[in-house]
Amino acid sequence: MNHHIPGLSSGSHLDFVHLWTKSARRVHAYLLVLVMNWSDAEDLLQEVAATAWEKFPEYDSSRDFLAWVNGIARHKALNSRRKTALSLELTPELAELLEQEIASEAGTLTRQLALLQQCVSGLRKKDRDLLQLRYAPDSTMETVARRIGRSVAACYKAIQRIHNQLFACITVKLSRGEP
Amino acid sequence: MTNGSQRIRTLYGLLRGGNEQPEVMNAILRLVEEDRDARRTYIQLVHMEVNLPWLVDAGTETETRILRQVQKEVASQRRLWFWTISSSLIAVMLFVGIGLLRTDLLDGNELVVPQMLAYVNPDPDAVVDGVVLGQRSVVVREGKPFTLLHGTVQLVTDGQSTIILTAPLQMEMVERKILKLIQGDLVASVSKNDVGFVVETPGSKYVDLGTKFGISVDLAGNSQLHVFDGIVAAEPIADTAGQPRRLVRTGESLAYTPTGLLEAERLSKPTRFMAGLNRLHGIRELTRAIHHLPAPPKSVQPGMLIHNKFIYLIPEQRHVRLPQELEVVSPLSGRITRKEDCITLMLPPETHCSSYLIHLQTRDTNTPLSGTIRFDQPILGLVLSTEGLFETDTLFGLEQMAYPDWDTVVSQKLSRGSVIGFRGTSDSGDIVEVLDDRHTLSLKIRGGGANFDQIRILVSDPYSPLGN
Repeated sequence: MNHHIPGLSSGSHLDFVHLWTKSARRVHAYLLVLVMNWSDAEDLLQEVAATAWEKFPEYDSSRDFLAWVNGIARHKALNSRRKTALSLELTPELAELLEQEIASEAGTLTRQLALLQQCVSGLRKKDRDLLQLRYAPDSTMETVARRIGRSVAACYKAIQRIHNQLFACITVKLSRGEP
Repeated sequence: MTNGSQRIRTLYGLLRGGNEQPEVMNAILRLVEEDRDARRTYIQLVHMEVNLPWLVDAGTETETRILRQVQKEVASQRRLWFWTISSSLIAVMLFVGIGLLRTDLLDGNELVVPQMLAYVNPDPDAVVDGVVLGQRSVVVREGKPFTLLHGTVQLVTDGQSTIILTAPLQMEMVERKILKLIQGDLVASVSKNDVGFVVETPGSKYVDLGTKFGISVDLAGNSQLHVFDGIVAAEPIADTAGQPRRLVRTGESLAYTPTGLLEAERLSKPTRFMAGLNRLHGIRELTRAIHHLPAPPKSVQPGMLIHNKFIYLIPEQRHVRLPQELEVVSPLSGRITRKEDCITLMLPPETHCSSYLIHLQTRDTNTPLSGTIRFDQPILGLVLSTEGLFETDTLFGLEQMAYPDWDTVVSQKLSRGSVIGFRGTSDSGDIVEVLDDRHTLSLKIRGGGANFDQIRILVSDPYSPLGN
């Protein structure tokens, strides 16, 4: 798919902002698939944005922007793995395989997003509130625990339960072919 | 559900349950390499996790608020048209009324309401578009100029970024995530929803890549940028300027002329944005020795942050909901110079508040330091005692900042607190007072020796993600 925006000159600043805005969440997901740690993925996302912005004049607008920027993300993730003490078995081949799988699952993932919205709306208010606290800016599980006066372990469990509930809800809706 | 899919869900549950061990991570990697169902399930799980914050975070409340305003406005306009048709008399009156309204809302027979992209929180001192803002909030619409003649206001975008605008200022929200700053100072804390947020100035464009930054534009159109945290991409607007794109990182600054030329020598100090940074943290005004530390220091333990001229003010946790009642010193205690002056107060459970820590340690035992802090929101209570501070560290403290350790304080016979924190001696020489407006704290503290003065200030938090 060509993400170039008609009417804008290739490599323009506004072009980048539009393309990045459209792709950022997918790049974030790809990074999280590769590095598995939320804050590492967020840090890398910022680095990817910075590099993509720097290299944007070299970007060929006939190419798929997401694929181009995912290439940068893959490179960053593999490099960061080398720098850390963690001996993760992430290879360039596996990173590429995962990227291909994400591309082939694009349709499902888009439907999943719409269904996720429905499933979140179906949650109990208490659970929605907890998610809201968990995903507030700069929030961590420790801050959530402090704010609601429960242990960190209990918060992990509660969030995990909600995630499971949401994933089950999406899976059922997907299998039923719900829009 | 296949075996691989089930296994990956179990492993993912372990990973997200706080168990980020390499063994678990590698088990996931091996499984997704071997089993396609596991791979697909893993990708779906991660995508769900990445998208969840966007669906549930506090931005929803902002959008809902803006949506409600739009709905209210549309409903009132429908009523207007109904009466226009049903009664010629009312129609004539309405015609006059509409004539007095802003004519740019009307386009032929079709009512055009420019999109609302942000709102400005109420501020009693601010003058917006020639009108005192007072207790009203103002909606900022797409393509509509916004002029701040006096004061400092907090603008919240529909992506939940917070931007502090300081007068005199002229700006316009060109579209979602694009703000044109014609003149004035702003300090922005950009939310994850708004990454890629652009500030256009006469000679340059600044693109946020996840950050806190300040931008200033003078009357001639010269602009300067200072990045407090993260990365901002900067470039001249005119292609002919021949200036390269720049990435500006934490602690760095940059200046452009209106024609897009880089001008390093014109840079002013980042303290220029201090007032905006204060407001970003809910602090309206600081006087004399009070010094705000917007980025938390590594430690507020004994022996750290020693300074003979500063009383440090450190923002701690925001949006805290009290899990149980909490005893504090009432802001109605008046002038506190000894333990007996304190009136205690129980804050009820579920109270929403934000916390700030005062820290003072000096080598100079003779000269007291003084100053005032005026907060945006009313002060709910103070924690002055050694025990009270230790008891509330867990609830209000920052993870990245090391707090004093009880055993160290006791074994080294140190004191923590203020006025009543000094082991029962009521003659510390400290004076603490919440003024009648309940927003202002006045301090006069004598530091020195092995003792260090700390006070925790709890301030009301009406903007909690869960509401109050």
